[in-house]
Parts: sequence; structure tokens; C-alpha cells
Amino acid sequence: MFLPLLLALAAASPRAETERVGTLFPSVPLEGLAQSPAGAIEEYAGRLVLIEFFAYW
Amino acid sequence: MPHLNELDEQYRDKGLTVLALTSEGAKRTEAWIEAKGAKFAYAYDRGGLAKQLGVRGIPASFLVGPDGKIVWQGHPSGVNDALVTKHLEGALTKPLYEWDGAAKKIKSAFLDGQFGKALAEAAKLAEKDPFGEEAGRIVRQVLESRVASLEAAIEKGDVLTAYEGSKALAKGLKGLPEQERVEAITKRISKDKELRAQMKAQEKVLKITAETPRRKKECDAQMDALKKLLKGKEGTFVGGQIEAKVLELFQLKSRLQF
Repeated sequence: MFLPLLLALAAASPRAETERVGTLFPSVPLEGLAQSPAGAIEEYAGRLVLIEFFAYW
Repeated sequence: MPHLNELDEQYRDKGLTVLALTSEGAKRTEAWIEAKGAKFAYAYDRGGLAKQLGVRGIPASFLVGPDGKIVWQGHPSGVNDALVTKHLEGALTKPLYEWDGAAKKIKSAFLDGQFGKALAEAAKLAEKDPFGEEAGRIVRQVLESRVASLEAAIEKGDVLTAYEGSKALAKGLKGLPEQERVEAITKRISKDKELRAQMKAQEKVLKITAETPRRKKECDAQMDALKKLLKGKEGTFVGGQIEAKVLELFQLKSRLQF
């Protein structure tokens, strides 16, 4: 019963690419902040922050 | 990744902070960071931030404005000088962690969510140092952004975010005009049976999906519970959240071996 719904949602998912624009960036604790004088991500408030999700592979 | 080093160097003093996030292990990440000569800040996402943002593939980038709102998202290849300079206006050239002397009191209050106190300290500093005005401007900007975001949340049906966010924010708004706006949100929810029911449903979604399934039958169990919860909520915000979670579980189930 759910399959048509799931297929429709999956097909619609490319729209998710821009759906967060205009929303507040979530406040989630991050671990091991390195190479930064900041103690926590909250200390970047007021700055333009470029965040890139990456992996070593 | 070299582009991040370049952007960091070129725009750091103009208000840009570069932050790379990974959910991979520290050992291999640290080795990679060193091998690539990365100089920018990085951290580990162990709290599901990427998932919360709907990140479906790596690499993925987000540009967050000085008021805390996302102004752009996409593939890193889309980040260029034009995009960065477009959004630099109003960004602090002196980051919070460099605030010293009297500005430290503003920073401390601000990070504690004590916006009233932060603005009072900023006004005091502004009497002898123009930096107080800039500090006050940023505090106001972030506050307005948070309040507007909570008002938008309740309008689109995200009652739980509106309620919890308002309760947390209200604590530091004593005497500010924003206090009334935020308290109006919690009052409205407390008095509205339908809004409270939606919030309860959102809490139930979180409870059902608290543990990430490791087996197909665990995915099935969560999907069944969500399917029951969805009845009568189609087309609502929480209904959309349930449908998105079901899709996530369906995709996860297809990747699990057992």
C-alpha cells in the first residue's frame, strides 16, 4: 500500500536540494572541533559560514 | 578541497568562516587532513546533522548567513567568489572568539542565550567604543532570525519546534519586545487542542524512530508503527515528517543484509 507513495516521494526528492534555504541552520553539537580558535560552533555566530560535508575516501 | 583553503585565506578577514564536517573516523580523517594540507576548521558530525539537513551525498555544501539562516546549499563546485561576496555583507569581521575586554561580557551573555543582557552590555560598550554598536547589531540580527524562525515553524505546522524553541528562547528575553512574540507562540499552542495533538504526534515520531534499525524486521516494525500514526494526518506537517521517515526506513531496509 505504501509502495506508490514511497516511489512518489523518492521521485520528488531532488526538490530537497534547496528546501533548507531560508531556514535556520540547526543547532547540533559537533565533536572534536579542530584547527579553529573557536571553542564551539556557536562562536561562529554573526559570520558567513561555509560548511562542507566531506569524507576522506 | 584546495578551494576551501583558498576561500578561507581570501575571505577570513572579510567575515567568512570555513568549516568542514565529516561523520567518518578520526584516525583516517586526521591523516587525510594532513596529507591534503587543509588549514581550515573541521569537526565531526556524530549527532546526525547531515541527516537532519537532508544530505544525500558527499560532498555537500551549505552557506549560512550572519543571522544563522541557510542562504545557499548545493555541490561544493557551486561555491565561487561571486556567491561568497554576495552574502558577506553584514558578516562580523571580528569573530566572537576574538572579542575581548568589555565585548567578552556581550559574547558570554549571547552564547548563554541571555539576549537582554547581551544587548544591555552592547549598549553600554557603544557609549565608548563603536564596536558595541556592531556587536549589538549582530545580537539583534540573530535574535530576530530565531524568533522569526519559530513564528514560521508554527505557521507551517512544525508545532514541536515552535514550542520547544520558544520555551528555551523566552528565558533570555526578559524586558525585550521579542519576549511577547515568543510567549505568544507557547500560549497559542497551550490553548489549542489541535496544535497540541500535532505536537504529541511529532513526539511520537521521534520516539518510534529513536533507534536506528540494524535489521530488516526492525525497519518493518518502525514502518508499521509510523503507518498507524499517519492515519488522519495526511497532508499535515507531521504527516510529511512521517512519510519522509518511512521513505528513509524503506531505503535503509534495502541496504541491510538481514
